[in-house]
Formats: sequence, C-alpha cells, structure tokens
Amino acid sequence: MIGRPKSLQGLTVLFLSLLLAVTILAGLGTFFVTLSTIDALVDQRIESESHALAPPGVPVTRPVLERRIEDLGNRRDTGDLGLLLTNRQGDHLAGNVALARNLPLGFSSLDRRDQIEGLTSGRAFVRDIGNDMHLAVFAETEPIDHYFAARLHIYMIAFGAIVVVILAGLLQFRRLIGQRIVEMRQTVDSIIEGDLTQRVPLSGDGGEFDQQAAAFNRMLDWICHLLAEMRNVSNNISHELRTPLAKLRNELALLEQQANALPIREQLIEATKQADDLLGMFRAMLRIAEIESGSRRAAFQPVHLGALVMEVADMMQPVAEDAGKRLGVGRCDDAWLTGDHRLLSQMLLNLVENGLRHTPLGTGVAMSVNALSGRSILIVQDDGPGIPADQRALVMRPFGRLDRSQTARGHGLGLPLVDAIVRLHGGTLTLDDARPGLKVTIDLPRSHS
Amino acid sequence: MTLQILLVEDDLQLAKQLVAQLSQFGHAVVTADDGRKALAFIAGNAFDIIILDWMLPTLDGLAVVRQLRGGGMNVPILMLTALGQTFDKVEGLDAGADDYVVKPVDGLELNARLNALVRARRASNDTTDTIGAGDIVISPSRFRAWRKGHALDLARTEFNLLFALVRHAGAIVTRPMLIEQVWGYDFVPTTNIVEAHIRRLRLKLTQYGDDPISTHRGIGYLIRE
Repeated sequence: MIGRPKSLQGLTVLFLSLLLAVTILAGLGTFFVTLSTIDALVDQRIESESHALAPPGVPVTRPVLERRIEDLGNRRDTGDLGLLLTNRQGDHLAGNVALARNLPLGFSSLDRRDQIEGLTSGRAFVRDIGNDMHLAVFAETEPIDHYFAARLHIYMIAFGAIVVVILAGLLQFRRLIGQRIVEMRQTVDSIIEGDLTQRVPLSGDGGEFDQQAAAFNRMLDWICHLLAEMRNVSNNISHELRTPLAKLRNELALLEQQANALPIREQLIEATKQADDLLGMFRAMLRIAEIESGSRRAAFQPVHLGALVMEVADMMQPVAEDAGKRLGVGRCDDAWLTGDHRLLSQMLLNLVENGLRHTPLGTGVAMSVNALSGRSILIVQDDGPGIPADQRALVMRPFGRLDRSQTARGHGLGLPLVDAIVRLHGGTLTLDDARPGLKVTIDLPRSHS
Repeated sequence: MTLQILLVEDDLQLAKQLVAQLSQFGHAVVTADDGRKALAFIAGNAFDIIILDWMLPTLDGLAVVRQLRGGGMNVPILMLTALGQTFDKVEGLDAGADDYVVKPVDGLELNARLNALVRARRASNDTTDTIGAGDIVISPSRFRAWRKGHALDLARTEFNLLFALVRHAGAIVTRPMLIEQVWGYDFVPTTNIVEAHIRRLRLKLTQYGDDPISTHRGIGYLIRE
C-alpha cells in the first residue's frame, strides 16, 4: 500500500505517473477499438457481398456463379474485393485471387504471409454454397500502404502533445509553489538568526500567493513591533535603574576610602560588592538585549577557536590558582569560525568562571576544541557537583538559579548570556553529566580561513 | 588634578548631572549643546580635555572629531556613546577620539578616564622610546621593563598591565579601563581577573623594592609617579 504523498515532489511524481499511465492506456484503447471496429465493418461488407453472390437457400449453378463473380470484379464499387470459388478440396474453380492455403469456413484474418498482391491485412468470409462449392470473399482492412504505421504516428503525436503540455504545466506549477515556499523559508531562517528586517518578497500581481506573503509580512511587522516595545521597556528600566545604582555604588566606594569610615569598612565593602552584583545583572541584561538584536553580526570576522581557548586559559589561570583549583586545556584543534571575538571571549570566560565558582576546592575545569567536518565542538567541563538532569532547563532560563535561598554569588544570567552568544553564532549548547561534574558542549559551525 | 573640561551634550538633563559630578572632583566644566557651538568654544578657549556626545544636532560628534584633528588640534577627546554602538566606537577611535564611555555614565569611572587621558597625553609628548614611573622604566617597543636597573621577567599580560598603569602614572586606572586596555574586552568579567594578575605583577615588582601599586578598593589601581 503506497502512502499518501506528503511532499510537493511526491505529489508531482504520483500525479505524473498516473497521468502517463492513463494517457498510454487511452491511446492503446482507442487504437485497438478502431482496429476491431474496422474489422467488424469489413466483416459486415464481405458477408453481405457473399450473400449477394449466392443468396442463402437459393441453389446456384457453377456457370451462373462464375459470371456473377466476373461481373462483380469489374464493377467500380466492388472491384477491390477478392473473390474465390473452390471445390470442397480447395481446388481453384473461379475468381480473381489465388491462395496458398485452405481457409476455414466462416470469418478469418489475412496478412502478408498469404501473399495476396496489394494486401497487408484483411478479412475473409468462406461459405459452403452447395454443389461441392466454397465461396470466399476477401477485403482489405488497411486499404492504403503503411496505413497502420501512419495511424500509430498520429496517435503518438496527439497523445504525446497532451502529455507534454500537462507535464510542462505541472512542472511550472511545482516550480512556482516551490519558489514561494523557499522564499518564505529563507525569510523565516533569517528571522530565526536574528535579522528581523527580512520580509517575504511580493511579485506584485495581487494573487493568492501575494496575499499570503503580505499577511505573513504583516504578522512579522507586528512581532517586530511587540519585540521592539518589549526591548525598549526592559532597556529603559535597566538604564534608568543603572544610573542611580552606579551613583549609590560610587558613594559607597568613596565613603570606604575615608578615614572616619574605618569602623564600618567591612560593611561598606560588602555593600559595594552587592551594588556591583546588581550592576553586573543590569549589564548582563543589556548585553543579552544587544546580542539578541543581532547588530553585532555586522562586524563578524574570522576567529581562531583554539587560540581563543588558550587566551582565556591564560587569563583565568591566576584566578583558578588563587581559588585553589585547576584549569586545563585538553585537545585543542586548529578550528576557525566567523564571529565576534569579544563575545566569544565572554562566552568562554563565563563558562570557566561558572565552573570555578560552583566547584569545591581542589577540583578543576577543562576546556577542549574538537574540529569535525563543518563543525567545531567546544567543551568546558568541571568535576564539581554538576546539575541534576531535571534542573538543566531551569539554569538556561534568565534568573534560573539553583540555590535561590542561599547567598551564592552570580545573577542567574550567565548561562542565558552564553546561550545567546552561541545562538548568534548559529550554534547550539547542551548541558550533560560529566560523571562527576557539569559538561557544557557547544556545537558551532566551522569556517575555513 | 583640576581640569578645564568642555562638555558637548545636547541632553540638558544629562549635561547638568555630569557637570555636578565633575565639579565634585574639582574640575571646571563648560557646556555646549551642539557641534558648531563646540567648535566655536574650542577656537576661543584652551581646554585640557573635551567630552563629546556622539549624537548631536547640526554637526555630530564624529564630524567634530574629524574637524578638530584635521585642524591639527591635539586636545584629548573622550566620546559618549549609547549602548550597542560598538562599531561607532571603532569609527570614533579611528577618526582620532582617544577613549569612549558607554552611557549611562558613571561619574567615578569618567573622572578616572579623564585624568588618565590627560596624563597619557602629557607623557606621550616626550619623544623618548621609554616611559617611566618612579624607579620603573618600560620600553613598549621592545616589550621590556626594568626596576632600579633590574630587568623584570614579565609575562605578556603582566607587561601590558604594567604598561597601562605606568602610562597613567599618578592617576587611578579603573578595572574596566584595564580590562579594555590589557585584554581588549568590551565587558567586565564577574570574577576579579584584574586583581589576580595584579597580585602576580606585584610579586615581581617587589623583588627589587616596595610595592609601587596602591589599590583603590572598588575603583581601581594607581602606580605612583
């Protein structure tokens, strides 16, 4: 059982196969029905001529019959008929045709093998008319030479033309629909990649396709409008809150420097740190908004992923040592990608910082770059406590911290920020169990540079 | 250090805030609200530094920078940009601006940058190959540094860090400034990376004397002149 076709291609193939099958059957049918109709008409004619020569039930003598045969052969309308009178053994008695074989009584077919001059295909009718006589009447079913071939040719052209026209129409139809679908998909793809300015092109004929595309574009306009509003609101909040917060933080920092603040210095340092954390949160929010707007894509350049990993390792090494932890680089392939060097540095730094922050003393973080065909796999893993499988989705959400109740540092935007950077570069991020620890796998497209 | 500052900003509320903040640090601030007025002011007065907003009526910040540099004016210029205009920053620096600060502006950070820029400009007027701070000498072109004549064995990052501090010797260099100048990042990492590297630099410097770097908690670091 063949399933119903689901793709445009499948539908086209199925329709074409059915069309071809039906056309060929119709052609063959018409051809053979015509042949049998001609046979029936010829049979009717030779039967009636036979009855005219020797009416059934009326005895006729051989000389009378020979005369009638001669008359009939000379007449204009019956001159094409073959006539043959034989005895029951098949010996020739009269007629304008000689035949190599004995024909059976009743109707039968003739062809070239019977070697009758000018006959390629025909019908014969043989009757026993009494007095030891058999009367045979022949007529051609193909009165003109190569009539059969010519007819086949005509049929091929007629039905072939139908097939060609429908085939061309169908392919054009398929191309038209396919092109529209491709245009829409390309638009959707660039929007997913963050280019919200893309729209489905209109052909301008105002047809169904154009109306569909226009409706789709209006929907995109509306989505863009909503997104811009949302971004504005959150950007404004971040900006408006950041300014007074920065001021407050600076007051605290300046206060701490003063000699008379010595008794409460520790509290002031803690308060400054808290203000710094809040400012860091706003910075991360604004940074995510900047990344998601896609504006940084305009300045993408070739970046060597291996070199970047070494650079970040170099930068974070002293931090890891001070925290009593290890930081290592494993396999580091020669892999390039097209991207933003600073954002990719931030991505790696955030992951290493995360790893160092959430692991106990004496543990470590390791980075590696694995170049595959067309893709680079970047892995940052630690041997700390890891994240339970059912909570991995939570930490990918903004503010989705695991230990909300505790006073753990970090604002819960680290992984969402990393994820935004990965998505901007057309990659994917997955969290796995490193047994023990957390394994962050980033799959990025490779470029050849 | 008291500086004569020209602030070019068309957002009057922000201009007022900045003037108040900068006055707290003892600077004298003159304001202009568009590019043409700014050029007129500069022609008639001597400023230590110019703070220039990117988006201005009549003549934008970039055009002002080009005109000033085209006319041979050497005054340090710090540009104010809105968030997300990363590429504008590059364009601004290419045109001849010395530094930029992303809005909203943090008064303490702005003050540190202004002082650092003015000092760096004065230091760069010396035509020698080396720059120094106290008993420390650096040769940027040869990537070498000495203290009291002893060659210092510095890693690349440590050298860049020392260079950034010495270039602005006597002024506080903030954490974001160091992150930008030493690592070239446009974000501030959450862990104190600068502190860890400063600690290593201090260990090498104190081999030949006392600690020349002072920490200004919550603000930045200063190397004495």
